[in-house]
Amino acid sequence: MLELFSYGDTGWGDEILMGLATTMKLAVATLPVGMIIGFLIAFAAMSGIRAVRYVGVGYTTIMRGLPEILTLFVVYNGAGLLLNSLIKWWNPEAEGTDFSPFLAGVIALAMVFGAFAAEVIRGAYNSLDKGQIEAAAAVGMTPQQTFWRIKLPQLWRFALPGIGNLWINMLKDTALVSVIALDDLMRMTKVAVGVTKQPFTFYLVACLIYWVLCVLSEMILSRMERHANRGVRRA
Amino acid sequence: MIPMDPSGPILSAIDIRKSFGDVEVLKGISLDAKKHDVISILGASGSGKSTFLRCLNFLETPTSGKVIIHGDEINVQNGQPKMSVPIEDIRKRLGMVFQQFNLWTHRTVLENVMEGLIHVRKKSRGEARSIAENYIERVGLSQRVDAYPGHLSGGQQQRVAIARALAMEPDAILFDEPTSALDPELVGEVLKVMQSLAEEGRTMIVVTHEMAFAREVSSEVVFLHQGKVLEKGTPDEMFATPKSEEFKRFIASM
Repeated sequence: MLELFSYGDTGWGDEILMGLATTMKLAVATLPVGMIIGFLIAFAAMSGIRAVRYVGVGYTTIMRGLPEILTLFVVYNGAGLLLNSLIKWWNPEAEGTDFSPFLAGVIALAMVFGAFAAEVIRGAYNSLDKGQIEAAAAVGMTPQQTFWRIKLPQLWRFALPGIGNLWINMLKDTALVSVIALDDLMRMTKVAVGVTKQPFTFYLVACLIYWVLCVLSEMILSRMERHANRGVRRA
Repeated sequence: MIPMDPSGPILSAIDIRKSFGDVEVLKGISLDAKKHDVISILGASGSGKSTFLRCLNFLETPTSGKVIIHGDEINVQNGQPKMSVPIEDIRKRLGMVFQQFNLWTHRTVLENVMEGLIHVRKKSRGEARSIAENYIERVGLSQRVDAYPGHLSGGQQQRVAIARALAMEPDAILFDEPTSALDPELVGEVLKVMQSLAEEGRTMIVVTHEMAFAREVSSEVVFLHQGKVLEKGTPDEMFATPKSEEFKRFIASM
């Protein structure tokens, strides 16, 4: 039994660890891109300019309505085609290139993450205490200073629980990239099952690994929330 | 900059008008504050006194009127302010203390007071810290420098807010009903601090419901009624011989 998971040619331990590493890399790379998209879309949706507001609200509406896996296919195939036709247009002699499944995964997951994060950020922004923002203006802070020094740290406090949920969802959604041939934890598990014909064992191990990742995330998140809420009196 | 007459006003508001939609809440209010003046603005709720105060540092933009602070002039026509210096330069010369304290909840007492010193006054951290500690001591909260606002009583929070305003060394401090949100037993500690500031010669403009403060501490009392200055004068003459029926009734109701 244990030799199934040994490290080396005879076991699947190394493959599964590699898959786990890919899953982690994917999730960690998606987070900042998704947060940036989330902020941009949130501020677009709250913009005073009507056209910009429509873009923000429209993006969220569309992305929330699409199954993640469809977004992934559209990005992987569509962006690949677009990239190739751009290269061909630039230089008709050039060879086509393969769009990296890792990059497609990051983009697709970040687009979905960003759409949901935008809603969380918008809600948090609307919960900010107007009085504290006025106090910042009254001491002579510029709008930029007020944003970075007063609004953002408090926004973070209100947004953290929602963003934490999205992170855990996204961590699990990384399993979708296994369908575009990215060797993540899910795909390596499937390969192992295919070869060894031991689905129960390997799927159970994958379950445990995803579960441990989520529990670890929750522990870190609750520490972050405690830190963000320091000084706030609990009712 | 217009050359300053040392005995002239450091803050002038001229014919301030403000409408919200069709409702004109300020119908042309003027006010001059000279150095060391303590002006109490009284009036029933809805008289426009808080709105007027907020127009002085442009938290509320008047519909029209003129504000002159230390020689810098802001002229507003049709809700469009024209100013010779950035609005931040005007605001940092006017401290403000709010009814709801409005301390930054993610910062400690010390950090609340240091914030403007570092980022607006551009002081070094060390210098900001010693100035902040000095003013926190001034309001009697040296023991609580590292506390967060959420762990202080309302009276303590308001004293920190006063220290935050003082630390910027403003030309004048605006108080917007500073004791109205406090439990009755906490009002005294805040009024005591305000009274000591007045005795120090700080220029203060105070929107308040505290008749004793208006009567005993201020150098001038202004009574607003329905968006207009109905009466003004020294507290002695105002309270001894109220001229208008409205002010008589207002005093009687307090």
